[in-house]
Amino acid sequence: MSEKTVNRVLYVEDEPNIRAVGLFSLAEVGGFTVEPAESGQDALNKAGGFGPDLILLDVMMPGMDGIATFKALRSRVDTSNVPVIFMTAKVQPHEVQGYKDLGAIAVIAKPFDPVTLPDEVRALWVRQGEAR
Amino acid sequence: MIPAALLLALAAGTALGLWLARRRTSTPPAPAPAPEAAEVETARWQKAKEDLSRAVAAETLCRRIIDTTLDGVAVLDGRYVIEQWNPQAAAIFGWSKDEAIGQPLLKLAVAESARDELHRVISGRARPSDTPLFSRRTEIRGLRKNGQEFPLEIAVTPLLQPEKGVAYSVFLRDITERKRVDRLKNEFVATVSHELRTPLTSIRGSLRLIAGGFTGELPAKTRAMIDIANESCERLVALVNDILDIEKIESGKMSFALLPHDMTALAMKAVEATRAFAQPFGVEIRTEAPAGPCPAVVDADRIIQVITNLVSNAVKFSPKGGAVRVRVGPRGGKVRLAVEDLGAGIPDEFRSRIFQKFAQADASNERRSAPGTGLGLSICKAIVDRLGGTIGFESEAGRGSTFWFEIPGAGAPDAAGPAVLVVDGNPAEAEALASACRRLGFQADVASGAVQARERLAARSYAAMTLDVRLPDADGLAFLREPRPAVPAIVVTAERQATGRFTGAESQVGIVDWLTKPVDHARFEAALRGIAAAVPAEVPEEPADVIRDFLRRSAPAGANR
Repeated sequence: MSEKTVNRVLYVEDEPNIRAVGLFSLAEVGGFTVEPAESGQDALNKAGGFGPDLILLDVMMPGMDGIATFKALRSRVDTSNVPVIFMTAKVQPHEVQGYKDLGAIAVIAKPFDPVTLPDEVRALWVRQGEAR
Repeated sequence: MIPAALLLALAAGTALGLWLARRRTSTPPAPAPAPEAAEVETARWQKAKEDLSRAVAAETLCRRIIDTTLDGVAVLDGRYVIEQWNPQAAAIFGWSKDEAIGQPLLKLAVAESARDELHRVISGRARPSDTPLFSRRTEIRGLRKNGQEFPLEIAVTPLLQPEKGVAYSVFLRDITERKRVDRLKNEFVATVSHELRTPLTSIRGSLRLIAGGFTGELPAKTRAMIDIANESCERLVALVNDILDIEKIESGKMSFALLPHDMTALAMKAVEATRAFAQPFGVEIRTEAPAGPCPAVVDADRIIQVITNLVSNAVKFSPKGGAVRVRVGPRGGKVRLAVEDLGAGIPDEFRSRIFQKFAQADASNERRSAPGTGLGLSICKAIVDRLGGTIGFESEAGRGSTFWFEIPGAGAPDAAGPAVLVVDGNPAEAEALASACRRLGFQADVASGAVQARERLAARSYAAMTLDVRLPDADGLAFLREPRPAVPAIVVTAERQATGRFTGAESQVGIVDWLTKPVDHARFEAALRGIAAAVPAEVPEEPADVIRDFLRRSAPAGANR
């Protein structure tokens, strides 16, 4: 087990309805403290002040996409060590490997199940904690 | 057809020429022939004239067909050098007839990246898992005079011509437009499916949260409606996922992480994943597997997808309280997995289209209780195809069905040399010839008669065959004259006068040598090697690996000529 449990989640998703469902799932079902962000730039603006334990990051976003956002987060002192999970419909094996090679701890496939999403996030958190 | 007619025309022309020559030299100027002799002479002359005009008419017709057909048509010699080139071929490639004739087709009209592939098509030697390459259309990259590459559909048929040896007829189609339309259609399907996914994600998520009671207790009537919405939404998501899957597989965009895996372990994993699904159906899933591992090179996720699909289908169509058996095991260098159910069986009218997209049998109770997308089996087939395997089923009305697939086993030796079909009614002699073939590095299949030989020829591509002229169920020569892509044949016969009957005209039906029993093995070997080497030995440029390999294998041990 990792020493710290996951509590503060920065959730980056550009599609408002999906964001609302994800937010409900993480906050109401999962009991996390969630900061939603509607774009990569929004995520960068909020990350410093919020201080997330974990970042859930959509890949396909207009403007700054998930990959660019990930790289920007990595280049900043305050977020460079925060674990990131990508959320995407692109989950072919080589694509998943590509995200992991970038440094993501995991990939959650879309469409996700909001009932089980919090458990999945916790399980991935524990696993990366053990791996460290 | 066309070359046969040309040959006929040539033969008729030659016969006439010979006849005229003989007539000139053998007919003395005087005295005048007797009246009856003159009549006979006139009749022969008349007949020859008719033969000639028929031959000319046939030749003209063939020429017109070739010149006006919408396909590009080329005739190649044994070295793939262009001998004939019709106007449509000129239009497709930009090379005029004068420019093309005398040039090697591969260099002139085939993209460099596709030359090896075409070598394989022409030499008829591909992987053993491939269907016969002759008389089927293959897509390759073509090359125009201006250097532009384009999708080209090509059909190659070998022809054996007397005295000239092997030649090929080649039909060529520029399929640029067809590919463009296909791509647009596939992109449209992919885009629509992707766009559907976004709203579906939030609809499905909301419904699941509501149905899960996370937004508060639901009144009974509301719950019933939400359950319907939830269930239908799941079906829609599955459908969109399946459409995207099949589009990806078919367009080659789906990547396969090919690694050696134990198929037994993968089957067990798939079965475990399906047990929860089977429970409400009251169906038990049993597994049978060999003690040792059953290795195959596969993408684990994709093969589990196939097995899960076959098992869940079997569960859906099983009677309550029934059992589904999943068997996995090696089978002749391959790994076979079979899923057997005791359901109602596949209706006759549905059998032929069971692997087609959106194919589902008529509505039945089983289906209504667990509707599928109608794409599951076509996805299974697409995946198994990509893995170089085959998928199929056996079914008996009221007794159940067995769906199976076979994929190449890991470490299975790639089959040796080219294949030879031994057609002989005498089992002992057939086996002797077959083992002689194997000793020479060929693969050998045996057919006991014409019926079996036809089946074998339809199922696989052969570099050569040996044929007993007296088959138990047919006349060997009549069998050879049946219309099918020519396979060079060595006729083996007990008839003493047999060798005397080999005049050369037989090469029209593919006969390259004629041996008497007991077979002189040195001569048999020479004939077999001659056939096998005929094509590759004459390839003037960059022989493909398959051909190089073949030449190496077929060289006598220790010889370095």
